Amino acid sequence: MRLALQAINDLEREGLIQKAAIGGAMGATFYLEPVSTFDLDIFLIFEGQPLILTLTPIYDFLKARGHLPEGDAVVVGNWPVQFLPAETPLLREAVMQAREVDYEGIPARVMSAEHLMAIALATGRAKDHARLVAFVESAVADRARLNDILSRHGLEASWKRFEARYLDPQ
Amino acid sequence: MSTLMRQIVDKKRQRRMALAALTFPEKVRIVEQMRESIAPIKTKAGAAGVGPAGTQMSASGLRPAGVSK
Repeated sequence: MRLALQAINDLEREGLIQKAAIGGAMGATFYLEPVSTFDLDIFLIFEGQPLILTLTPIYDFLKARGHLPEGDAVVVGNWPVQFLPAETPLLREAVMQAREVDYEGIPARVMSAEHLMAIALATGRAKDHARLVAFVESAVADRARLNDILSRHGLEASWKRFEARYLDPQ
Repeated sequence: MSTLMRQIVDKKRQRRMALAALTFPEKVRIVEQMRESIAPIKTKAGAAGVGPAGTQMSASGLRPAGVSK
């Protein structure tokens, strides 16, 4: 994991990306019990607004350092890293407002619990709902902040449906 | 819910909370160990034509989706 986080910092330092943050299962693992996952989801914001979004410069940069692509990820150390452009307003905000953490001396960013919850709700697969339930049970999220995010990104109705189905199913 | 079931559920919740309270590097090490132990299972499931195993398994003891006992 250290190598992967160092590589992400290198990408930022070289100006290939503006900002990156850990999301997905590893993001959730920062707040919850460890969840098995096969890759590290890194959400990216690029410098400026490129006309065509491409991950090729990132792949080339990492390849030159010996980190080779495998499927839809690049293997850095023992971690397949999946780079995902933060294309929606919610994902962009999640990256911009990610919390800074220290991973064994390596600076990194992890999406906030509230943003991870909102993204899980928007994504809406069964495993996202399971993750949401775990977040709710753990009570790690700031409810006012979550409500604000849900409201600004048009997710209030989805949240009501989730609540009715999973949290108050009478 | 019976008293026994409630005790079991409480114990599971306590275990999840204890795992959640670990540091991030400690949790990452657990995830890495889980990945290493699941990889052969995934390969077997793939070879048997039953599709990929789920990509998530709780550290508190659930099997990955798609992998039977």
